[in-house]
Amino acid sequence: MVVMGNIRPLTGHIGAEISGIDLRCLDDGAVAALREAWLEHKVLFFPRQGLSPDELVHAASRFGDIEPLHPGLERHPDNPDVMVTATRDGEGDAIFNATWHSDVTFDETPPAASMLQAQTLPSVGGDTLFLSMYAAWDILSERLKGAIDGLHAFHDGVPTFTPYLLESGAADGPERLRTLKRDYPGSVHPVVVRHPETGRPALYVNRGFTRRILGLPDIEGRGLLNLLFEHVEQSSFQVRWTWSEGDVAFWDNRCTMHYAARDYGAEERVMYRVTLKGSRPLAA
Amino acid sequence: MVVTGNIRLLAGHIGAEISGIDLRLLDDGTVAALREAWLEHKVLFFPRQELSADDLVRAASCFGEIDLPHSGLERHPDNSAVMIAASRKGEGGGKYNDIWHSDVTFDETPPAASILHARTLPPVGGDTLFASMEAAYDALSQRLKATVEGLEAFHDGIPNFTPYLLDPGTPDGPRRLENLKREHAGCVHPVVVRHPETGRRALFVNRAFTRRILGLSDIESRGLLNLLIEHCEQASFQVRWSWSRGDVAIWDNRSTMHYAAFDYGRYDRIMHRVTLKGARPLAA
Repeated sequence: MVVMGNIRPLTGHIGAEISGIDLRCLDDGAVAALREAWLEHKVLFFPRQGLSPDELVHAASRFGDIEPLHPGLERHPDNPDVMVTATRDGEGDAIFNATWHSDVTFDETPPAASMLQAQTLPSVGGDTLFLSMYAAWDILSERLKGAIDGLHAFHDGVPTFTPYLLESGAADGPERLRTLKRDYPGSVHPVVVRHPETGRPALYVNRGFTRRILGLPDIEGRGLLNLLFEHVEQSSFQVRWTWSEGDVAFWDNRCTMHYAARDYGAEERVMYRVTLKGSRPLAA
Repeated sequence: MVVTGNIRLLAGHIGAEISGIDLRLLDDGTVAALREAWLEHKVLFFPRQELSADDLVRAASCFGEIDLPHSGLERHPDNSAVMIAASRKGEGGGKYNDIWHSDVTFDETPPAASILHARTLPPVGGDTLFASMEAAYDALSQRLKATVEGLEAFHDGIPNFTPYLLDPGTPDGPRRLENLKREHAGCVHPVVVRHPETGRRALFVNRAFTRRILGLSDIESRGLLNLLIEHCEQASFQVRWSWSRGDVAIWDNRSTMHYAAFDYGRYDRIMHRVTLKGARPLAA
């Protein structure tokens, strides 16, 4: 059971560190308490867990159904539900992960959550940042809230993954890109969504995948989208986590974005990620 | 004397925490070692220092000549070299300081350094972020480096300070605004500067004060300035510091920008700042 003393909020809007928990041994009471803390703080950090791929999948599965990985991603050889996100010699996923995004919003039903564990870290750097899309919505002026009321936007992962899959040197890159294009032609989501569990409105656009606002001239759509990207990416809505090996982060993908800082040159950084199935985002 | 064991690096490009130092008791050897660490890491953090306003000024004066706060700022009643940056009950500078800037770049000779001391903090939130403008320059593509080579930009503090100084919650705001307008008409600086001590190149534009690139059309200037501002603000170039009461930060204002997160609503947050005189920025 998580008691108050185990939760340390990290900023005014997002993020809490949970101590005294072993994610390998979660009883139903602990899962319920963690779920409540997770909905409130949006991303929870569990220091020094050091889970095996199977244990990571098992821990994640206590919070929902595991989502299979899309073809743009690299799978762990021991457990295909585990995504390996790796940077070596300055090459790899860092290229697209140093962009603010929610995971897989170009899917009709983006993941509800992701669980990430730090495997191999550079000597310094390689932090991950998270931000609250609730806070970004709350702080928008009434005038701008009115301007985007009821709008929808087109999300597409192909432009973001194309340079990575063609330039990362992976032999199967072109094949994975063809599969991604076939299986993920993009999707349309509300610009303001309502969280299915908390009912709170959140802005739902991200620089990684949101391409176009529908129903507006191109110039107006671009201008509004750029304004919203800059608005949501303000540091006041963020938390920044400096990893130790074995740390686990568990975030709500329906009301947050994240960004992996690329400040460690040619050093190696390897993370394991598991995602949980989500539902179609609801209009606010 | 600072030995290597006292320095803990905080991110890949910027920031180090210095432990085991009392800023009231600095001998010449320590000052020299700290100065070297400061030039390398750009911002140093000294946890939990017990300093009066006079102690803070005395510590700052070990590193250079004190620069008095400009007329837009609130001064400490006990020592006019100390600026008070305060947010009380949601009023004051806090809601206007969540914007990336280097200090006083609208002056012909902006400060070389600033020293900030946390006096009163909210229970959570109120972090300060710092960005390396050297990392931002280095990460620019060759094409863009060539594009901005030799350009100069106009910096003006009035547009940024006007909403703060006309806010009814700001003490003596209209008179301070008139003084600011009289004493600081704005100035022109190179877009790429060379550090006077390290010789390293840095971008020198910021969202708060840089208004216009000279020698370009308005459209080109806006487009290029927006590009450079967004580029400089990437989290990969940053460090984020969560304050404890008494913590001191010393930053090199010639190679960094900073941003004070406003995520603490109506809680009080009061900081004391002393700045050190700088020279006219040099073209790279």
